[in-house]
Amino acid sequence: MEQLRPLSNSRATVDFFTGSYRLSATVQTYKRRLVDVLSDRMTDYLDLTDVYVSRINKPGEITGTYQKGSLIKSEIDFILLSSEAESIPKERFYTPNRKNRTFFTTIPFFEIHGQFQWLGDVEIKKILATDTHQFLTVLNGTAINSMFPEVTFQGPAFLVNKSKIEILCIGDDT
Amino acid sequence: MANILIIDDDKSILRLLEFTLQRAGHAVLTYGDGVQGLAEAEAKNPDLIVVDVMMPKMTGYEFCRQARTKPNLKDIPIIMFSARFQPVDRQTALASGATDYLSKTTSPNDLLARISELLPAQAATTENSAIGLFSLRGGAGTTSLAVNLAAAFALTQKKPTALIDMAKLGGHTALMLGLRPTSSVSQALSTLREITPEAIKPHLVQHSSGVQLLGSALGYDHELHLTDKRLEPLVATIKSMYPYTILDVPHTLEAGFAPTMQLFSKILLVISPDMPSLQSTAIALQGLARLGIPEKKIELIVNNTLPANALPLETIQKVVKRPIMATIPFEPEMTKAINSNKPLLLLNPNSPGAVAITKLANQLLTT
Repeated sequence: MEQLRPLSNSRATVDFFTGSYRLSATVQTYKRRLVDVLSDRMTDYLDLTDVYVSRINKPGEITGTYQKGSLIKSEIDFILLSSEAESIPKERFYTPNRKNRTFFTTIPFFEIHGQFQWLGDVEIKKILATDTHQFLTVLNGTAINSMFPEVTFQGPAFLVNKSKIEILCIGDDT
Repeated sequence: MANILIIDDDKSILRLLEFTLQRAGHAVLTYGDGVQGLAEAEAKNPDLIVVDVMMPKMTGYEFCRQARTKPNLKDIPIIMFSARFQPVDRQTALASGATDYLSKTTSPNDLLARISELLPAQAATTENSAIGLFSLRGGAGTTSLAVNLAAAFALTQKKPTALIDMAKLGGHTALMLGLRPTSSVSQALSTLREITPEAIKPHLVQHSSGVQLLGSALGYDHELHLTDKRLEPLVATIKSMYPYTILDVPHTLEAGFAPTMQLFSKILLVISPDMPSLQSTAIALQGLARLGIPEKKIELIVNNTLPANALPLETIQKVVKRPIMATIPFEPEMTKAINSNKPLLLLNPNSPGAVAITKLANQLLTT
């Protein structure tokens, strides 16, 4: 069984992506994992601090900085994390032996490749069900902007908004 | 020990970095915003700066751009340290003038190692150094290495560095620096009545990097004879004038040249990773021994002039039976630099080749 990673921080600094923007910000997680905060249906938004805005066609350049912000969860296309820990929902620690599978999806303006963990037979309907979690975890992923293919993002974990998914393809075990 | 300035709006990061660097023996100043940090950097002239990217009043990118306009900050190593870790963030940082870019997932020890690589090395001795670069066979990239090594010394130590082109005729150091000297080693030897610093100085030409070049003759009227008895005192005087003198030595070992070679603090024997160069190196080592050059003065440098199919390092070491001091990676931009009449260190200081040559210069300073 995986070790439960300690949650000593109540904040996480991540990259949020909407259709046209990259937003680097610190989000209050109240000592929970970000994926669990995103699934909390009590609030429709995330409290952000130290927000740095970049346009998607020049994602390295910072066009604006703001001390505070609110990000509407439903408007998030995907989130890029610097570590896998924030992407693992609490209950996954109790379901080991998940298999890695190749994963591909398109969302507006992006295609995302990576690995996806699932236990048992793959059923796309179950994967896309938003009853429990609105965001899907993709590991070792690469996101490529379809309008500017030279704009790419890579990271150990992505959280992809299920409601933005246009097509989802799952491959065999890796 | 170096004076390092850290700028980050995150107090916990500031504390962690301050602790790590102080434990390594450095003096550390910390600031929580870029505006104050820039003012303090200009006033205090640190040896290196670590700056966060995402700061409210002034981003790290803007800090870098502004720092590079200040005369005393334009050459200081600046490491950008950020939670943003994408390749595009690194490109943006380097374009804004940063020397390097590390993500905040980098361990403190790795950050410390990179800082150590970038800090100008403290010279091991106050005695002036003369370093000769030599290969018995052409095509090993000896001249381009000599030019860039001289530039590295001048740029990192911020002191004038002499470069002497010892080619008998038609040497390429001036071409690679974009200079048009009006004199040469042989012309200096033929016109100088006395070999003194004041008399020699007008024969050298200054490059923007701080390198002072004594070039090679371009006409047969002024061909250099390596057995000229005045060559040794000329080189000795130039060595006394500059903390560092780099010599691009021609592809020959003549007995009459031995007294001049004895002046060298180090001889870097340049090898390109191919069989002919390896054979020539083995013969060169014999030749240097015959000239009475002590083994401890000789260091081997592998200069990868080939993009592919190079001999492995282990094979080279097995044949020459000596350790390799440094390996310079194949650098696709070197040809561009040569054809642009610019040292690679100025054309693209962050290229792998330039970084390796700077590292070699730092190594030579401490040996």
